[in-house]
Amino acid sequence: MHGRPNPIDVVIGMVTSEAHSAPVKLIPSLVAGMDEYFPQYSWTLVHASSSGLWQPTCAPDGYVKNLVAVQAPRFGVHRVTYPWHDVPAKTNGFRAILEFAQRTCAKVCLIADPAQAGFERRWVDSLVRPGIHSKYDLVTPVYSNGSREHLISGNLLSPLMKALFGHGPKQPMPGEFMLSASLINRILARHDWDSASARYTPEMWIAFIAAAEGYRMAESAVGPSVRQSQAPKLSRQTSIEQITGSLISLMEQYEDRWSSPVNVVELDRFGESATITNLDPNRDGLEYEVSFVEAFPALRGLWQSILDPHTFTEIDAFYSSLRIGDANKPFGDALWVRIFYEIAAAWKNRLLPRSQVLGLFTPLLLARIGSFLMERQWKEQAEVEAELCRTGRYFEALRPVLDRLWFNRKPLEEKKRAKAIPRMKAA
Amino acid sequence: MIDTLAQALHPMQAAISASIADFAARLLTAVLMILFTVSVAGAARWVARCAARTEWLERMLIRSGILSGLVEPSLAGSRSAVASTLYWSILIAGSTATLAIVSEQAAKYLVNLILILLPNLALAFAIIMAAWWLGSYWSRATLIQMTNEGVPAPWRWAAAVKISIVAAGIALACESTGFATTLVRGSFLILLAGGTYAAAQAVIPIFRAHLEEQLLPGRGKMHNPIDDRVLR
Repeated sequence: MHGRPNPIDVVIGMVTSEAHSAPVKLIPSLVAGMDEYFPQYSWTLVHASSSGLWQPTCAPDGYVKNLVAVQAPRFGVHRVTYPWHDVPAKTNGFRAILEFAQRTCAKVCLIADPAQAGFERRWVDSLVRPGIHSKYDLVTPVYSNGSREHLISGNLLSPLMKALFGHGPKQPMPGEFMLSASLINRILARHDWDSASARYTPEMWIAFIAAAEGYRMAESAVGPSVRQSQAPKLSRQTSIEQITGSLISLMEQYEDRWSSPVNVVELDRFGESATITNLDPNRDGLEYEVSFVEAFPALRGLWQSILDPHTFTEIDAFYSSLRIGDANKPFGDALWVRIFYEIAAAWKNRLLPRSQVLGLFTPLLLARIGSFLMERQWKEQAEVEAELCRTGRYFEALRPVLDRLWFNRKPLEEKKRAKAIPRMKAA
Repeated sequence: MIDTLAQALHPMQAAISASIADFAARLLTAVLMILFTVSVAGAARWVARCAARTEWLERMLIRSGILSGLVEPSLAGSRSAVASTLYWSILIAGSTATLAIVSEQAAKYLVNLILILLPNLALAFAIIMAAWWLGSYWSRATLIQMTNEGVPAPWRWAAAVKISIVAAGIALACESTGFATTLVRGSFLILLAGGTYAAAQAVIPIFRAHLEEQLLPGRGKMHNPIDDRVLR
């Protein structure tokens, strides 16, 4: 792209890898949504490549004609790439889209996931309206099937962000989200685009920055998420290590922001929750629990070396119950939260090499997810939501444990600090 | 006759008494020097324990990952290590100087021995320590990786990795000091051949499973279709 395009109100960006064809399935919903809900705003579509390459079969003219033929050619379709010198990553596509939005002085930028088969026109309204009318900086979706799926978000990312900063989105790694111009400027001004967290989990990276730096965030209820990604999948271990590694490195990056206790507030929520669909009651967590049981004998020594003895005893008890066939024994919230806090502190203090600490966390995460699914297989959605809220409260209540382990504070210092904080507030 | 005998023995007596006086003086000096050295070394150790700034050392060791899994890093531990190193260095230097007072020949011999052997011994020690650390690191990494990928008997892989690396380190250390090189080299080659055979036996089924996974995606847990939605 050369020159400075005309100002545009809304930029809608999509990122695909070079192996994908144009995201034609998503375009009708986006166009219909913009036509129906925001006819007065100018907007454009930006299709970015994560690899920096475009398929030779997809020549620019034919490509644009194909897309424009879907709907009336009132909007432009821009294909952008970021000049990359490294392995392909989704971040390259995001960066190209955000730079385009910045160049065109867009008020908001909506990122849509081409693999999202459940995208409906009302999602455009749900995600864009809070940004345009209420000046929110980041709007994330709340999927109606999110509490039984997206379990890392529900069990770890979201409650942790709330415990650290007092607020955070329920889906910190959504495929679709909206950013305001100020957040776009802030994100583009950063120098850590090449960091692991930005490359592997760009959505979480953006959400974490917004939460840590106090940007205005909101959530919008949308329908169920039905991702049909055709991109090559990573192994389960690699995915988990990338997510947890990014999360803990972001915690380290912002440790000065969460070093003091916070009051937790829920984000403003827009839209109405849709009816739950596509729930598969036959999906249980046995497979994940089996992974944990298989890993336990090999890794128990290493867990003992980095976890608190009491924590390890509880893990041992959970393993023993699984071994005797009691697959319904819960992996308690308190245990889960303590495990994560101790793992995070072990990563920070390098009790073992960091990659190995993350590898040790993987079976424990699978145990938690397996137990979560087993226990809540037949429960109502509202019950599951309430239990996730309870998990969040454990994350908040056990924050002193994280502070003590992470900052190597002694209990006495904690007590002094706890006494000092009310005095400081009063002063 | 007695006078003659006394005259004959007198030089001998004078020589013996001179020797005794000389030796006693040197012995006394040596004892005093030893006492002085011990006092100085003790004082230096005490000062080092109280005042040594070892945070930078500890931070460097922790960040480099050298301490990972070997010992639990602590300020008291690193200060004590620095103080002990200082104590023994002063003590060895003082003892060598003391030995030079008593017997210059013995001191020269000792110094030569130290100068010849110490670099080799230090190098061998460093190689073995490095091999031990590398072996521990890669063995742990292998154990975690194999376990998470669901490979059978991961601890055997981990043990094989550790034994191979440490054996290679010992072989290299012996090579550098020239100690039993033929024997160690032969043993190492036999061990390496055995390890390679065992690894090949273990890799074949994994490779086959991986091929099946690639040809029939979705059967194994590498490409579990629910993972992407459930986990994220």
